[in-house]
Order: sequence, then structure tokens, then C-alpha cells
Amino acid sequence: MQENQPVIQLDNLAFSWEDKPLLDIRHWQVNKGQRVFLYGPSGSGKSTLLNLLSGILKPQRGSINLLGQELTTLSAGKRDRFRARHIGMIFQQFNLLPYLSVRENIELAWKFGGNGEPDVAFLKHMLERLELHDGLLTRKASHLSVGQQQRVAVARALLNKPEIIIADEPTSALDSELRDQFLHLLLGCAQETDATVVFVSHDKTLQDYFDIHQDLRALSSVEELA
Amino acid sequence: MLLRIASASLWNRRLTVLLTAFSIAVSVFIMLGVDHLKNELKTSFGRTVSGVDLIVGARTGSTNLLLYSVFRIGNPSNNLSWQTYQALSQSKEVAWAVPISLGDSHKGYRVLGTTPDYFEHFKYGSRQALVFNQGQAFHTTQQVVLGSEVAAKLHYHLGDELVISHGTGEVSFTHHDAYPFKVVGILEPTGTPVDQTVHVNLASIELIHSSGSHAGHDHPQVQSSTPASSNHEHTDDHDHDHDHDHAEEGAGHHLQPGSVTAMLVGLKSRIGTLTFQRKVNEYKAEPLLAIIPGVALAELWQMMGMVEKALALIALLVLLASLLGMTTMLLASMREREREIAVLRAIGAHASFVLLLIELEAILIALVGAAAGYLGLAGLLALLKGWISSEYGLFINSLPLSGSTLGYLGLIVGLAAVLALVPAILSYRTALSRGLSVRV
Repeated sequence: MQENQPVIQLDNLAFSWEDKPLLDIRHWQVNKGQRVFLYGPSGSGKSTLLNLLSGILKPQRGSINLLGQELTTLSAGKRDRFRARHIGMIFQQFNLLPYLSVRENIELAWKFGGNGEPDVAFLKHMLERLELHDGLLTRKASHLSVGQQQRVAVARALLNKPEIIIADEPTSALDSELRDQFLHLLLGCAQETDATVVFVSHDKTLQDYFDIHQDLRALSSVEELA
Repeated sequence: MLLRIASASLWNRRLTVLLTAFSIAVSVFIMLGVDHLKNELKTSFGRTVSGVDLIVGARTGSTNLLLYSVFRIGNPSNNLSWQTYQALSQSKEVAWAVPISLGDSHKGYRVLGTTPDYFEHFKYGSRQALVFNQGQAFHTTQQVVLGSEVAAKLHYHLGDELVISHGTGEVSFTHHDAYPFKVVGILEPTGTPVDQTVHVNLASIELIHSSGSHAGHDHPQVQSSTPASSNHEHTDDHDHDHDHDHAEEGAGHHLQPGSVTAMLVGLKSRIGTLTFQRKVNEYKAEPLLAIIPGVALAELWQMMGMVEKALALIALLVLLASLLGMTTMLLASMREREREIAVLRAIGAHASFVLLLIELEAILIALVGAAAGYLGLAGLLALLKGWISSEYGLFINSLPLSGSTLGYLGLIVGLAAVLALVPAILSYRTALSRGLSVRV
């Protein structure tokens, strides 16, 4: 069942903002366990695609199917719940609420996921794996280094064992040494939980870490955006 | 969870948040203060006179009569003749009648000429009688009973002597030096104008005004019986003064006052109050006015209602200003909070979660402000209560956590919630459209 089971499937998708077409994707498919590098320079409709995939925006036309669930027919609240449970998001920076402790930040994601009791053993394992020691848990998020914050973000994204990880330039704030370490950790952890990874970046030097490379401009027929 | 996020987020911005809460506290302080003071004044207003069914004076405005007869404010334009007083007090409906005569003062405190019956019949509050803290009522024309504040402020004790002055100003050029009074009684505090009053015998007023105080001693047929044994040394003084005085115009004066300022009347049956009031108002021999104290007090309070409304309006405007300040503060922080919103949305928070978060923050700020304002006012009142009553003769009770106070606090929190809808809805829309992308 490993192969060719679509996790993400977009068909005939169009999205425009105030009558300006931003995305037009005929077909795109990501299968289970794949690690996709989505190359998206600025202006290529990258954030729009992320908002669509996570169910925050709704396309004007077409279908977004995640894990066999058609997102476009779900209500906004159900899409939010779907995202909390099945998608782990990691941004380039500021992944955490700065005024909450690390533990509270992680717990917050678990509460929105609503999966009953948190898997403490799993969390402990993840933190160890991400080289985050226990003392960090009670620290305020804003007191952590950027590298630590990004690793906490990974732990949080994986806590609900989501099937899909979406990472939006998570390494752009890291220097090259930390970047390698971070990518290894992220991909390693994702493999452990059998998660599919969509990694969006404008930095082509990172694409060697991934199985599939996709240029967003080739995917979407709408171009020449400012 | 929402509460934890809201409070942590506020604490993170504690300086601006505390300043905002402080400005709300100040406006709550003003609002509750104005309201409380109004209520207290109204209560103390209503407390000034009770047990008196009618006040009768020369024809004038009812407010005017009430002001000078009860509050010792202003001056009577006309007096009531002694004949009328006697005729009315002997009416079959009347249980008791006490004359009062005003027009003199002692160091700024009004002097009230009356009869010893006054201390028996005049009531205040809920029909509380005047109580002597020390001493007793006057019996001779050379004795005086002081209100509690007069005694406390001027440091008078039983046995001290004082002179009264003509007119009611603080500074008077005509002192009735020739006629000193001895303090024989000091009243308990009442929280009414009685505290600021110097009480003397009605006959004393006549005596000191009858151009030559000697007259009183030459003809001691004072209306309220004066014991013959009274202060001989004083008599000597007066005889001495008398030598410098001019001739005895007042000789043969009966020491029955020609007129009094007003009379307090108690009726045998309160049912007949209106009938008797009409009878007095239609009195043939002299134009008179009878007022029912409760009714006149209510009328007077209505007049003050305008001032009260103006104060309440100002308080409301101050409150609005501080709540707008809070809205501005929340709006100003919206931009930097786009990241927070993106994070919350990414981990599965619905856009309405963001709306509720902003609302909750506003409500928390308003609650802290309202509580601080309330506690500040209550604390200040508790601290200054003694000082206010000794300095101004106002008895301000502690701030109650009554229904109306809670209503005000609720109104403030409610208004805060309504005004916070502006930033809340804005961030809600940001959360919906912008989603995970952040303007950096």
C-alpha cells in the first residue's frame, strides 16, 4: 500500500484574488511517504497554495483531496479540525507563541488536534530525537534560539502524528550547518511517523534531500505575477 | 486555554496593558464616585428633617423656605408674626409647634433661636431625636447649645462663653459683645445642618436685638421662664456696658418676639396634613406658606438633578475616552500579532478563536480596570471618611457593592467588549484571508 496511494491530489484547481488569477493547477498528486521539494520563488503563488492545502482558503474551482477527503466540500470549522489533526505546519520563523512556554506551545497543538490524551512517551522520544532537553520545556518560547524554536516547531507539528507535513522555508533563518542538521532531523522524524513531506523553498540547493522536485511555476499555468 | 493565551499575551505587553487598565480604572473611579456621592447626598438630604409634618413661613418659594429653615442657606425675605405663630400653634389640628428664628451667627455658624421644645420635637434620619453628647438644653436666655461640629471646630467645652454676631457672614462688624452666652449643651453628630448650628433661646435673640441688652435684665419676663438665679456676674457686666449705651428705647419691651422666621409643626394626625397645609396657605391675616418637608426636599433634589446629569455625562465621556484608548491599543498591536494569528491558524484554530481571543483580552483589561477603580474608590472613601465628615459635615458611607454598582461595572465591561469588536473583527478577517502568510 506504500506506493501510489495519493495523499494530496489537486484537480482542475483555480484560485484568484479580487479577480486576479493566482493559481491554476490542472493536476498534481503527491503519494504516501513521498518527500516533495516544491520550488517556489516569491510571487509564484506559494503562500496561496499553502493556504489552499491547509484548508484556510477555498478555491473558486476544482478539487483538493487530502487523504481521500475532499476539502472543498467541508465547512470552515471542519477544515480547521482536519488541519489540526492531519497536517503539521512548520514556518520559516516565529512558529511559536512567544509568550507561552515551550510546553504550552506544544500542548496547544495537541488540544486543537483533540486526540485525547497526549502520547507522552512519543513526545519524550521526539524531544530527545530533536535534541531538546527537558529543561527547555518550561522556558518561554521567546527565550529560545532560532534553531531551538524550529526544532520545537517540528516536535509540535509531529505530536498529533499527522499524515502530512507542510514546511514553508523552515531553514531560511538558519545558517548552513544548522540547516543540514535541521533537515536531517525533520526528514528522519517524518520517516518514523510515516508522514508525507511537502517542503516549499526558493533555495534550490536544498533539493537534493528530496525524492521529488517540482517547480511551482511549471505546475500552475498562471504566471507573470509581480 | 483561551484564557491562558489571553492572559499570557496581555502579560507580555504588560506596560501598555496596565496603562490602559489604569485609564479605565480612573474613569471607573470618577463614574462610581459621582454616582456614590449623588446617592449619599440624596440620602443625607432626606435625613435632614423628619418627624416634622409642616414648616410654616412667610410666603415665599417652597425651596427657599426649606433652604433657610432646614439647611440654613440663604436668608428669609420675610418673617412670620408672633400673633400668627400663636394662633396657628393653638389650632386644634396641631400637636406641637416650635418657632425658629434665624439671622445671627457665631464665627460663620448660624444661630438658631428656638425653644427648648425644639430638642424634643425636631427629628432627623429615620425619626431619630437629637441627643446631647454633653450637658442639656438651654433654660435661660444666656445659655447656648452647640451642634457637634461647632463645638469640635471651635474647641468649645461646657461652661465656655461666646458672643454672637449680627448677620450671617463670617466677618461681622456688629458683635453682640454685651451679651455673652455660656455653653450648656453639645449635641451628638447627626450628619445634618444641626451639627453646624448654634442654638439659643428665642428670647435671647430678642434680648440682644432690643437695642441694649440691659433690657432683658431689667425686664426678665422672658417668654420661656428664666430662673431668677441666673449669672449675677454677667448681670454686672451688662450693667457696666449699659452705662455706655444710649437711652432705653427698648424699655417696656415684652421680650415676646415680634416675629419669628418660621415654625415647625407637628400635627395630631398626619391624615390632615394637606387640609391643614391649605388652611395655612389661605390664612387671612398674613400671607403664609406651609410646606411638607419630604415633598419640598424631593422638589429641591429634582432641581439638582440637572447638575447630577451633567456630572454623570462627564463621567460617561471619560469612560468612553478610556475605552477608545483601549481599542486603539488593541488595534495598534494587531500588526505585530499577525504572526500569532498565523501560528494559531496553522495548528488548527478557527478564525473565531482569534476573535474570541481579542475580545477576552479586552474584557480582561476592562475587568482589571473596573476592579482597580472600584477598590481605589472604596479604599479612598474608607481612608477619608473621617476627614470628610469632620471637615465638611458630610457623612459618606463606604462604597457598597450594590446592584447598581455591579450594573455600572457590568456596563463598563460590556462597552469594552463592544468596542473591542473592531479589532476583533479585523483580526478575524485577517485570520480568514491571510491565513498562514504574514506580511513581514
